[in-house]
Amino acid sequence: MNVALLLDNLQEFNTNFTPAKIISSKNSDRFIAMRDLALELDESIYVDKMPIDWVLYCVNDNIRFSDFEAMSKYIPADSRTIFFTEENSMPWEVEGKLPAILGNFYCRPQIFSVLGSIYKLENFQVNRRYESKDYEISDITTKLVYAINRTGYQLQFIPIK
Amino acid sequence: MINRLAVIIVGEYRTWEQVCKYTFNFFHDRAIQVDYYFVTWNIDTSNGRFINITNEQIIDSFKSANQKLVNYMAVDVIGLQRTTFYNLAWLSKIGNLLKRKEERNGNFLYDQVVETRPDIYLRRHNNKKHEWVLCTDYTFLGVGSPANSPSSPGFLALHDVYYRTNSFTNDILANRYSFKDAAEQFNTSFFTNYAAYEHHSLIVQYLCKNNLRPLYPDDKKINDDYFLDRDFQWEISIRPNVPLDLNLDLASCDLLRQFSSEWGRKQDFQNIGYGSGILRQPEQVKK
Repeated sequence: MNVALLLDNLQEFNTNFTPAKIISSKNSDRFIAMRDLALELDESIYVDKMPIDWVLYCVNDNIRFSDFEAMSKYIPADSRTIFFTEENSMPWEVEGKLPAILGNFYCRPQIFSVLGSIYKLENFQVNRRYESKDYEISDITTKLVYAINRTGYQLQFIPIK
Repeated sequence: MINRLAVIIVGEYRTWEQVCKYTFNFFHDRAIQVDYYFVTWNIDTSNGRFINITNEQIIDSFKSANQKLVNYMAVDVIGLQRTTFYNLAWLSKIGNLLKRKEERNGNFLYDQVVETRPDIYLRRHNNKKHEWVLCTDYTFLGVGSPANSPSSPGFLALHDVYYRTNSFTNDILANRYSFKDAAEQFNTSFFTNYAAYEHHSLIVQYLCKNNLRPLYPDDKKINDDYFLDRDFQWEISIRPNVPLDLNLDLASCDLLRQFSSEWGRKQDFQNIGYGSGILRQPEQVKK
């Protein structure tokens, strides 16, 4: 199982597995960081011809691929689903609160390639910044979830302990 | 007129040196700045022979015509795939990577992006002021409306010769190498399997799966008038039997189609070992 570990503004981390590739970005803009990560990921696959089966995108140090590994082999290579294993990382409301940032998730590499281009979206509805206090962080999640749904991808929460 | 247009030319080298001046003429007045990207590889799949494409060959074709070649790559073949869909898809991804790197380094986005092939001749509209309707997120302008494919009855098909999109949608379009349907692994019927995975059908399946929508400037014109809304009158693949001294701009569509028909081309399954299994991982092929 070849996993690319994509680190978004993560200085220190510990893993319980050996990634095939570690790519790091320190850009404070979430979508620009995704752009840089996706570009390097695609170069590894298509130019360097490195086999990558899975992507583990991390914004916090709760990195445990083994939790996901047992079921990952049953998921087809052309899977169009983004998998979350931490409840508080879901990009929607939990107990009335939206998460401050999108948490860690797993997906096939071709999905992350598209996420890396979200910063290009021209749709003004998803680009506008909401002023309401309740929605002040939703400009990131709105744009992300719009792109995921519009492209035909899906989000799934898998409660692994 | 748009500011910046990226033209990503991907595919086998074929008749590029014969066609290139027409390609440059087709795009030259479509944007204030037209940037070209060129990605090819060292094989001719019609006969399986390796051909030596040099960097100088690629550069000279642009330099002699005073065109801006931003980046290029001649890559080793990835191995024999079951349909040419995957061959072109791989090169498309490399071309897309070059474009994305340029956008990142220059901190800009292209207004429109065209992906086409080295051997495709595009006939301009007679009306020189023919304006493009610009593609937005998730829309594309391709060749022909999705229609029943003669070679794959019952399946929708699109030609794999020209796609215009915005930069975001090009990133999705160029992501198609990873596409395959799980049914492929269970379908052992020769006919239905070939029909379903013939490259013209596969591209439609990919576009549908990613919810990409054809750009029709006016939805009421999805009939014969539709062709007036395309970027060109008609297009054709220039095969090696077209005389080098023939002025393509003066040649009739029927004449060029006759050359193409006479040249012929083996179907995918005849020259790339059809039925060899599901999509292979990239591999090095011995020269």
